[in-house]
Amino acid sequence: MSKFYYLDANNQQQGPVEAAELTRLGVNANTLVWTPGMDAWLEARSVPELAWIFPPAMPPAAPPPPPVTGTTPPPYQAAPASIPHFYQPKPDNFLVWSILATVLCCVPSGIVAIVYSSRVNSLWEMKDYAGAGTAAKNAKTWCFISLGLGIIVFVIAFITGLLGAISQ
Amino acid sequence: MVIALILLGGITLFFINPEQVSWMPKCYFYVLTGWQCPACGSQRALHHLLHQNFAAAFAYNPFLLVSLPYLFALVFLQWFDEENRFQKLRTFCHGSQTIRIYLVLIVLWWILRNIIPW
Repeated sequence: MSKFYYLDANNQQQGPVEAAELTRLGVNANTLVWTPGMDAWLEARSVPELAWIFPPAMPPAAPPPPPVTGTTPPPYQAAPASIPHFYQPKPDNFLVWSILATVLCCVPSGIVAIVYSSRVNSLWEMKDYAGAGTAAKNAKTWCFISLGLGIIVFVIAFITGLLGAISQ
Repeated sequence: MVIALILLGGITLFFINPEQVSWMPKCYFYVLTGWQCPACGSQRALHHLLHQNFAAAFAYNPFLLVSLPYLFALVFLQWFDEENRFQKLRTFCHGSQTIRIYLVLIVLWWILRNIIPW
């Protein structure tokens, strides 16, 4: 079990302590905690590892306390407006499909798909999780358009080729 | 499923020379516009590649030299590396920098091949 840092009533960083000790030390579901592996300080109820102590709930988040200076943990930063990415896995960027679609000769729509695929990762690296999700959706759409177009054209070409062969 | 599709494509392109049959799919971008797309010539190039005729393959589409290894790596990471054993390769192939470079190359190649007849 990893050890947790937490902010006490005066917003002073305390710990590290065992998860089981947190409640005894006055930590509640709204207390900001941090443990190695987390990107930012989160309320205890938002941390999956603490779900067994503080059942997750979804009321509006309390205003974040001022930044904390500490030795090991990173400085506290106001969480992005979207859900912290602790929660959601990185969306699939459909890169394989966009490049397959491009190489199977469905440009220029395949190129559009590659552009969106690349934006999934760059937006994710910039912590714009909502933007990355949208880009992933667009990449998927353009892959389908490209592959769909490719299949339609292939079928048409196949039929006309066959008809031409028969008529000869 | 993926392996079957790759094998099917490979076997088809090995036994059929796209230059000699009329029903192999044509690039609709080329048919519609008369311009070559970045991937034009890929089927013919792959056919020659499968027959170890590297010079002919290169003549049909030199860009495959860039595309194929990259595509192989991506397909491998997507379907044959579920346990994520090749973390470094994954980070490289999916890095925004790598994709951007690939995009620039493909667009450059697209423009160039239509200016300088290849």
